[in-house]
Amino acid sequence: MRRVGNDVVDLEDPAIAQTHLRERFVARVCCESERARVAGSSDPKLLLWSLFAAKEAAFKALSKSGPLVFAHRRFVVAEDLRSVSYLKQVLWLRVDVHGSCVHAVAWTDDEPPIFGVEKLEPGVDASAAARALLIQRLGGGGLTIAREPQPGSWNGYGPPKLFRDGVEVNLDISLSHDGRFVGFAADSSGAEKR
Amino acid sequence: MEQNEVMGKVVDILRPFVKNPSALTGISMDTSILKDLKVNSARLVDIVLEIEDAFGIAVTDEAADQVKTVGDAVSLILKTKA
Repeated sequence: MRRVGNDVVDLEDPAIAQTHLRERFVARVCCESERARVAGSSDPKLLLWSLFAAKEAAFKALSKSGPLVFAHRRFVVAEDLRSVSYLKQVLWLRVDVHGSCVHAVAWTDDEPPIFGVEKLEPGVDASAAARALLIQRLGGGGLTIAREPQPGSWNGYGPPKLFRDGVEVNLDISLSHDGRFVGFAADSSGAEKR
Repeated sequence: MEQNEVMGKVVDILRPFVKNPSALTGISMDTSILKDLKVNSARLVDIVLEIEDAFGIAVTDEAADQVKTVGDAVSLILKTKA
């Protein structure tokens, strides 16, 4: 199955306002060549968080195939932001900037996934909003999303799975949220293999 | 260094990164940093750096990847300092 991952970063989060200036943080997240690119960038903040989101998206995609150590700096993002590598695996990558939102999508096959990002309405639960956005883009109709507990995973849950009328749909999906934004990516093969 | 002392310092490190301070009520070794305290992965990088500074240790990528709970962080620190 094609694997997809996505990540959003809210650039207006005050907590990350100066992070690009902190060498140790940049060194923890970026490999040597990426550090040089951030240091020489005309917009180091945007580049750092584009790289960060790309690495998060790639990890989400690859970790569905088996456990792997998540060390941001081991995921190497191409200079053109079109691919991201982890050891010998290379994923396709797309990074979009929508105002103050960075949205990265990574996938394991030639055909790009469908994806989207949306501003979160105040007071709305971010996880619920990301699920609602994905379901809406896939056409609704009996679709639900659930995550099963997965001890040992980074947040205690396995990846989100798509169900239609209670039956799991063999279509890989990814959800994300940060600050005022939610995003998703989904395998665009379209064939729902039950 | 005693476990309780390390635990107290770890909680102090976590405090500014926790969006909802009430989540720190009843914090224990089993508390998940990401799920229960809702710390995101970018902040987790900051927390690893703070732990390195506070305890004078170097945390490898493999060790950092294993830190899911408060107890994991405490164990990592005690093991590294031993």
